[in-house]
Amino acid sequence: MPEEGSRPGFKATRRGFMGGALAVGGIYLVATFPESRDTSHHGDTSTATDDELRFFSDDEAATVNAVLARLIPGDSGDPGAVEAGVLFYIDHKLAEYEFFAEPTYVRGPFAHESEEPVETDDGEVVVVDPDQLYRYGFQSDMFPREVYRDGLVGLDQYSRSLHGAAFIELEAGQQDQILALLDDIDLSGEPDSDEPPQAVLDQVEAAFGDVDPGGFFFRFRTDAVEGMFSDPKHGGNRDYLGWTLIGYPGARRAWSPEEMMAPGMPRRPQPLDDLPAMHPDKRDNPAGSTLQQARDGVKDG
Amino acid sequence: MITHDPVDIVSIGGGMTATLIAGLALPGTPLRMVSIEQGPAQWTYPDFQHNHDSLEYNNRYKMMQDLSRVSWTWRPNEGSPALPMRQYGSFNPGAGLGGSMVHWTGLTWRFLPTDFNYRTHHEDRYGADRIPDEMTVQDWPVSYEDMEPHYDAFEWDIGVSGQAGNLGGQIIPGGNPFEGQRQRPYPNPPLAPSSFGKLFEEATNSMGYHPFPTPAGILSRGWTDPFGNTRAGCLYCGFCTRYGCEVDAKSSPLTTWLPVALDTGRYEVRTNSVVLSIETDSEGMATGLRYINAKGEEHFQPAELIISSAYTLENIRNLLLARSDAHPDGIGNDRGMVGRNYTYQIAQEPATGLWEGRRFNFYMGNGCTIPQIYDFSGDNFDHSDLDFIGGGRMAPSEGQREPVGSTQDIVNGFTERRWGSDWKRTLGNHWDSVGGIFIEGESPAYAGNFCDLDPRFTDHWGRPLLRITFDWRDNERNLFRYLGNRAQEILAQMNPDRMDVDTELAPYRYDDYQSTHATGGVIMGSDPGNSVTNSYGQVWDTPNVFVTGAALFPQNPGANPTGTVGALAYRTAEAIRDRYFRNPRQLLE
Repeated sequence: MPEEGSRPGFKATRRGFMGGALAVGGIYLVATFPESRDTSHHGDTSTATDDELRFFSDDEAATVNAVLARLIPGDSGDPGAVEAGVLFYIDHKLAEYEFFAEPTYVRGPFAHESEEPVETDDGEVVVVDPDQLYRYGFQSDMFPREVYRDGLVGLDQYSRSLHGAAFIELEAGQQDQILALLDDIDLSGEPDSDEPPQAVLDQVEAAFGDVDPGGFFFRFRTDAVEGMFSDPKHGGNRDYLGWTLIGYPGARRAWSPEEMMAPGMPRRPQPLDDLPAMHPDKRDNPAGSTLQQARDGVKDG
Repeated sequence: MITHDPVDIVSIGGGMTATLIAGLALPGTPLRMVSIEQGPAQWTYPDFQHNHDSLEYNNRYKMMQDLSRVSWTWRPNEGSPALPMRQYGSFNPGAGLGGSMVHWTGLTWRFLPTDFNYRTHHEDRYGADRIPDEMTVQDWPVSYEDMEPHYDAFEWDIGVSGQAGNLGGQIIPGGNPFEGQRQRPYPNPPLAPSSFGKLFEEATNSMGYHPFPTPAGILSRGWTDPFGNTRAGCLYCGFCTRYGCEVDAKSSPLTTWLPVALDTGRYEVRTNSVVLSIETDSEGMATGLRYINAKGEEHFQPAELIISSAYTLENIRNLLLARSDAHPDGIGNDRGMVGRNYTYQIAQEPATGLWEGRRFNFYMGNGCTIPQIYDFSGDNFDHSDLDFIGGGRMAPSEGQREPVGSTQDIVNGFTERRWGSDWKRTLGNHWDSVGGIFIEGESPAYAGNFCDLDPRFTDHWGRPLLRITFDWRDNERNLFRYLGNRAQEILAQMNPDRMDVDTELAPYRYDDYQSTHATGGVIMGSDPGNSVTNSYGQVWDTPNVFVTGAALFPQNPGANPTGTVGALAYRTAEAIRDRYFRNPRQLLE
């Protein structure tokens, strides 16, 4: 157990060493994490309609949209994340992936942020200087489903502790202040970053409990941008609103040297599924026959 | 355990150098070779025909090694704790048939002549005291002249597109005037240029520098290679790095060596199979590879010659894990040299500009449709009054700007926050109007930067992960500041409306992708006291084990490694084919 006075990590969650229920004989149950490719295990891949929620409850979805409306604001004339259906990108991703969508190493021990040496049974946690932890990247022991589910609760609890109302009921300016604070917490420790005052950190931490508030913000913001600008088949970027915003025409099979040098011109975005097939009937296509394809001598061992 | 019939050669990995050696050493000889590849089989047709989904390939690393099974830990110095790379950051090694060269960007450099006699050159020109005490840089055991024929063969076999700059001593306008002498031009003309690249070219020309087109392992036109493989030219589609090419324009093992090797009928790649260890006999010689196949069964493949041809970090670990009574600290490590001279590379844009109302079409093209300058590479500029040695190549922002990856941070220097109305407006107006000057800076070796086995973290099979101890030093910070200031001058000459400049090299961080150019750790040298292998990658203390790839580099110059990895492997392949099997288990002269 950590000594009194050491501050549980913000970027590294404290679940790995705080949760007594997780500890058995000094060994933490990191073995409950899957150990192979199935960290990206597909959960619900049912073909629900695109605007059907598969992970969030209606209340959670309302809060997610309230956050998205501040991260990438919009209205009907200048659409943002809400109009682009980013909620459904995040919802479908969480429904589809029980663990992580990207390859992730999930074996312990996990990092614990402390300026003081921490007494632990050998190997339970790795103690890292708070000023250095940002350099190691993602070190959380929490899966995205838990980060969202518990983080949204934390967000409301913090809103209530500040303003006596849930996040969704706050003025936009109040919402922005909270999100800016979470953003600052995520960046704290990095060069040129400002550490929020300790009293503020304590209040945020009390509201968020086991969830790392900075990590929650980072996950949310990263997913929001992914949902805004990935192909519409993943649930967001509805009507190509993200691509239209930045002037991206979608994937094409080819661009000519002349097009590369020409001044950029607006084009109607097209989705991946509209790409012409590359070699629709390779057998009848002399060009296709030169492409490298399966040969004898390569097979699973 | 299932034991297979012995073969002549078995390799860890079915990537670039393994298939290259098979393609060169098997035709015309009776040799048999097997490669054990951790990833799946993958072919241009049909696997790459519909692979333009950035979310899967860029954000979710579809072609990369499975981090949930094997990762690597890192710490900035010996006094700090090491933690694993839990999600992809600093480098992106590939998995699957053909390895990382299937998803590479294609830049195909020859290192500079002075990169090879690095220590001698710097001591001769600037005095022995210019090299800091902790810096363990050394000369390569090969010279540029030794390497030239192998560079030439590699470039012609993969069909490099580029403009020669030094043809047999004659400087050719429009090429790289700083390159070593080459015996003939590139086989193909340069790729088409980009509009932002043109701006850089004009600016650097006007400043007296020497821009030239990127030498690319991507065909600029339809072409039949010396093996008889016929391939199409680049379509500039904008899905290149981290993707397999759907028209075979990007050179890879699939386009070049695999067909030749497989046509002999004496080459076999066993996919989805993970090597557990290099086995040795009581004398300490290697006997073969133990591996787990796709079904989870344990196999043993005996062979006369074992090649560790995985990614740099796995090559280091393969040797360290091969512990036995004969090699208590691992193969090649009898003198404690494995893991030393681990190096990386600076790959950052210190200066970024924003052009109001301009759209550069950054989403077209690829990482090679841009010009480069070598005026600040290596020792191409006088370091007498500078506080560092070395340099790096400089280039404008490249093509293939994918929305789903680039939008995360591309306007960060131009907004207060990375979200909200101002961020959205700036991104919307300027996503395609922001570009910068990129530096790929060299990474000298230091005694305090090294790799060993992690005492705490293990992989899926319970084996220790490799632990990297690495951080930048003053030499790199000073180099980056100097080159960053030159980058700022070039950017200013390109006349942007706004500039964001930071020439202070931040501490190394494990989560920032810079490049997959991790190098060193199994370095080649002139004798067993300064290296793990001889100039062929043959391990001094276990001569029937060879190592290929960038782990052999004594230190890392400021250029992409693939050209030199290829040239070294050509040299090794020829030695194995023509000489090794005449006197097996003897060190090659």
